[in-house]
Amino acid sequence: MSRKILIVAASEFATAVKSKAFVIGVVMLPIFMGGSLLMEKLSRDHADVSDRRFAVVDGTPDGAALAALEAAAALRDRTATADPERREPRYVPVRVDVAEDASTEARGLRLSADVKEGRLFAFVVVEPGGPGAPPRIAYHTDTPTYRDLPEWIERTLADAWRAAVVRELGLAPGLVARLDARPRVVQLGLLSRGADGAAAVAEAHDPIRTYLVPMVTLFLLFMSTMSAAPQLLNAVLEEKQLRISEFLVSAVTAFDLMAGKLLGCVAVAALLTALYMGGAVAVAAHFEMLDRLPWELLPWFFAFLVAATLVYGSIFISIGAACSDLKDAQSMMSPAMLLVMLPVLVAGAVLKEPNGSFATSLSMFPLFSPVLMPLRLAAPPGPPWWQPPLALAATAAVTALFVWAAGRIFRVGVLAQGKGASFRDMLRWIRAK
Amino acid sequence: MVLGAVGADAGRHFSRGARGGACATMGAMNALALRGVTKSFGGHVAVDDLSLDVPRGAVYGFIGPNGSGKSTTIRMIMNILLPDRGEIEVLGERGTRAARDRVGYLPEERGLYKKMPVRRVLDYFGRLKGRTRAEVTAESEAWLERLGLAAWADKKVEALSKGMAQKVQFIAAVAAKPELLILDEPFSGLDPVNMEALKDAILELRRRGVTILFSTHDMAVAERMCDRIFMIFRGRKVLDGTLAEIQARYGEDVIRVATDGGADVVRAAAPAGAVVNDYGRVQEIRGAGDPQALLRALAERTAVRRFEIAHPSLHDVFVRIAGADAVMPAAPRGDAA
Repeated sequence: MSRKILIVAASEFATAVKSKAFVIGVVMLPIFMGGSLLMEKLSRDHADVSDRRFAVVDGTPDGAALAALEAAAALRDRTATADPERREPRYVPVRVDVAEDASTEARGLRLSADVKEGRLFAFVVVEPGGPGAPPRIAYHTDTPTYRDLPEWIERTLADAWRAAVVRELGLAPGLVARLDARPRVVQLGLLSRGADGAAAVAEAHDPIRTYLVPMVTLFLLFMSTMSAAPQLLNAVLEEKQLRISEFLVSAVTAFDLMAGKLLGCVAVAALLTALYMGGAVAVAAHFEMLDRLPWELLPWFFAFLVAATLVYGSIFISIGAACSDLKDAQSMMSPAMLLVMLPVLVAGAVLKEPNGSFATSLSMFPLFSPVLMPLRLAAPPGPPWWQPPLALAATAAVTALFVWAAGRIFRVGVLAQGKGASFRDMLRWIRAK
Repeated sequence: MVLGAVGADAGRHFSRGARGGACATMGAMNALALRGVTKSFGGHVAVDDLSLDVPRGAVYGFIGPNGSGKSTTIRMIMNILLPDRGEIEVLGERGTRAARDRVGYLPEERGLYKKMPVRRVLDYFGRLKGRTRAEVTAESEAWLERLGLAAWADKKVEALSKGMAQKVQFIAAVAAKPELLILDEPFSGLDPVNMEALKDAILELRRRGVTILFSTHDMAVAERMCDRIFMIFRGRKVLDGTLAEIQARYGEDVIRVATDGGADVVRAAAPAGAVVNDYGRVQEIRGAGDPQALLRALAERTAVRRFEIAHPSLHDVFVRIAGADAVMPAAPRGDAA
């Protein structure tokens, strides 16, 4: 490798890591994640646990609905809300005497005023549902986003309704509980024979290994690549706008200059990944989960990280060379960003069935492989052994093609001033002698 | 004979078939040699069959109107652009890439990284020219000191004035101790003080044996500083020689006068067909015919303070070639090259 490529790479790396954007990016991610955890804790600690007083206009025979709500609220007081750690409000049903009001409308208006002025949190009107039908429940509130209370009321009255039906039919009292009981699936891994030839016990499904690790892998790859690669566009544009490019290409070939920039970009992405990964390992160590990290994926991860940075970096560097200002570049960025974002957008579908035909075909497509193959590698059971090397080889070939084409575009574009180039111009530059 | 044919004539002595290594025909005495170089962009021929020899140690002035092909020629010399036809030999090397590190270059469109400290810019640019950090540091420190920028070495470029930035750009071009220095419009935008400093710096480099090729629109600078002057017009070489040779080609056909009557009286006294250029206190008359007849005509009309039969200035030659009504001019007296 030419010494000048390394000089350019070192300069690009130093410029990038000393930039405010890099420092903010590195510092902001843990601050953002830590801040989210802190905010969640603060919101839990400072949750509004004042009583939720709600009026019950009970039209059911014998006030059955109110009775059921009072009984359930009393039980809840003894269990859930009695625990100071739970920090949940008490639900307090308040009986409404229907004789107090001249009409249904007047009662509704009075209770609405009580809710508005804070004397009540909500009011509920329960009416018989007709022969053989459950009661109708109307829940009135001006805090519709608080869903816990209406869901609790619905569950409580549904239980009461089932109990009433069982009683009416003369069935055994424990039947409701038996009918409600549901079989549970315990998700386990496959069995295999141990060294002694005996079948080992299948391990229980690990949600961290199954969902968290693949998603963190995807996130790390995307964050590192996207933090580093678009900076190439800015760097090339800056050199064009400040008229530095001509001096540079007089000292170093356009291809070497671009190769140096890409290498610097890979180094920045690797540093970012190392920092983020270090943080993730520290967190895993704190929670004694180091043995659940897929260390065997590290070489694959870094190989695809390099490929992703080179492929996407080539795209951004070409756009930077083809454009004369940021406005031009932004219009060309949209299709490029779509290309970069697409694998992330389909990550959920890939994770759902990592070895399905959709996931397999997309992850073998060289422009998507750098993001989707590491995701599939991290998601159990992992792809067939031959797919990752094949995807990496195809990506390497396409990377070489992209770097070559970007070099051709860069060679012409870096000295072009004035009107920005179109995609057609870029194709012409690639073919130019 | 057409002046534009100069390059073609010179090219006849060049062996185009030989590739690789130094060419004996071009000669070890030349820092730079171009033979039959042509470059087109689309249908436009920017440089047309251009040949040129720049001797080692010379200060070579490169003049020509805007859009005549100067920057394209320089970019081909620097291997930024490849010629469609022809050969370029730089410091004895046909593949200019090999010689690139020995050539300092100050482009016409030049800039610096605004957020970088001056020292780091110079280090980066110098090392890209193949020098070690220690070599670049030693050389750039000396130049910063010489050009009065030592105190600004650790400041970011954005803190510099335009003149200071231009001097830093110059240092970036020379920090790698080039053997050949190519300066595209080095004086443009400089105030007289900075211009003087840069001129002294260039002459210092010349004393050290560096070959200097610089383009300029300032004919007075070219006249004063250059050992040889080369003019390109519409992509073709139209002048190449020492100032004396160029002036000799155009003869003593200029009469410079200063009179009490001014330009109107001079125009009235000049014969039909003569061209009078008015410079305010002085007028230059070309095509005046018999100088004695003109002197008598002037004396009859006004008091004559100055009457000088002179060579045309470079400015005058330039305007004659590249004036608004210029067509490819005919050489008055053959080839000065």
